[in-house]
Amino acid sequence: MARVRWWGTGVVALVLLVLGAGLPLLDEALGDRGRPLAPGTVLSAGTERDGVRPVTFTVPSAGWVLNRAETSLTNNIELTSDDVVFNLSVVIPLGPLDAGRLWDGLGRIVAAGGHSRLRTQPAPITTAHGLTGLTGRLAGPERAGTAAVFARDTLGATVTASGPPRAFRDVAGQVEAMTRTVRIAAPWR
Amino acid sequence: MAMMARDALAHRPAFWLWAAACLLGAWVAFRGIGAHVAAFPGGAIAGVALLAPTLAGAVWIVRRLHPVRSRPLGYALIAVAWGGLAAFGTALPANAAFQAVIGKTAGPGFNSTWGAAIAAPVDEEILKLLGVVVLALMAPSAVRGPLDGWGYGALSGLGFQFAENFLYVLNTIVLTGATQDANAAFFSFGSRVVGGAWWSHWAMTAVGGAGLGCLIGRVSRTNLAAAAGALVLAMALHSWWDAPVLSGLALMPVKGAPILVAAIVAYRLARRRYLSHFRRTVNAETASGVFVPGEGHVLAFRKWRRKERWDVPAGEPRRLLSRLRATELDLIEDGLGGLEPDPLAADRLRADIRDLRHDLRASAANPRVA
Repeated sequence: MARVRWWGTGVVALVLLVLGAGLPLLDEALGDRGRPLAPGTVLSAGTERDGVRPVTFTVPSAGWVLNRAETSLTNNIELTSDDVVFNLSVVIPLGPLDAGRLWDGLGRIVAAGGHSRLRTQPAPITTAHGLTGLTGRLAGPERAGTAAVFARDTLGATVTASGPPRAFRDVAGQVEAMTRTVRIAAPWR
Repeated sequence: MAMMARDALAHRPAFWLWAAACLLGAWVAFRGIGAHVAAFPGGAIAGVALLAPTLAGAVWIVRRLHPVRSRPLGYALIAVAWGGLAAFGTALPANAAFQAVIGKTAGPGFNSTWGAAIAAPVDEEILKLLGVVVLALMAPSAVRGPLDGWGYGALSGLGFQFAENFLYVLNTIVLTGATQDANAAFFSFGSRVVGGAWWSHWAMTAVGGAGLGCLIGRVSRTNLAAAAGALVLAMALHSWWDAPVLSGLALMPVKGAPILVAAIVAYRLARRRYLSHFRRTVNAETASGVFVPGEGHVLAFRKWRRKERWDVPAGEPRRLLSRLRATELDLIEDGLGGLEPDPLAADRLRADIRDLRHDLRASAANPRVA
């Protein structure tokens, strides 16, 4: 019976290994599996109601790929173009929301990520559909980018895009164009 | 005695696996959420302040959920630590990878709707249940049947629940744009603990643990089927809870009721089985003269065992009486089975009972035990 001590412990260790390391290895083996997006593709995020998600934006040009592993349509959408990562996250406030507070909050969230920080003094931004928000630069070691926040009474959205400075410069115009297509359906409770 | 028990634990490979898995899990969890704890200290402190007393209270209740004697604190903490550190720390990369695989193969739309309902039940129910297995390997006397499996499964689930609820406090802060940290902590606590703790991880793993306890108590095809069935049921209940149906705070009780009912039914069945064995053994040991008539009644209730001690002089006689009752309960539970049954244990315990009774009689204690 003392043998069960050893093989039993071995079985537990094996199960831990399969779940804790085997699944990540399988994920790695599947590769990026990103889905290339055609220009004009409209993507939407947020809790689905009657088949509609409340936060949308449009991909303006070719070259952007949907990162399926890092995208959860309920909360966020992540796109990549070469080494540049574009991320849109949905914000569900617990009370009245304004862009200034959302910008400060995004600054803390970005800093917690450890790769970059928001620069102070954001500038106002208005999207093609009249949604107003704040935008500003984002920078870190060997990284450049932009960020934007949009707030409505019941819902908000944050956008971050960053990558190596040279790669980011090449798509900065596309990022800005994409950011200016963000729409938030309202009211959304 | 406590030192001896610690030494015995340290001689088993499962103890070192438990310690390593808990340390590794804590490290993975720290790497995963440490930066957010540092970034949102107010919300993190509020979260711990709300969750820690809840965990302590819940552990106390589950330890007492035994018809005859409370579960030892040390074993309870081993199960809680496994759930909160080892299982939770392993579940973080496992769930992320599993959901990424679903997203890559079935698409982000399917993943956002069904990913959690598919990945979490498989990963988390297995990982939490391993806490019962590890405890049985570390201390075979701790898990002898479905009632023990139920209790330690629930405790492992409680540890996991605490860690996950803390993660959700941080997630809620991010989801609300880091604009109201403390409010996010209160909101998360309200929805996940006040509204959802009644039918959460503890209940699902208690169901799986009860089945596993049957198998650990006695290996047979029927018990293997019971263990597999209970694990599948626990996964199905978990999947039901994560599924995108009956969503919303108002419907939480409706959605959670089947999970709570399953846990209660599993407890009642396990308790009935334990008490039936208890009565059978008491009758047999009384007939053979090991127990004195009426002793089984005292053994069956914590309150009577406590009251009985008041009639015995403090000091050595009272200690002897406590040891006698503990040894008698050990003898009763020895017959339940376990991972490492010792065929000589019952006779050894009977001899100990005779010796303790003799010593107690010599110390002029309560005549009822003589």
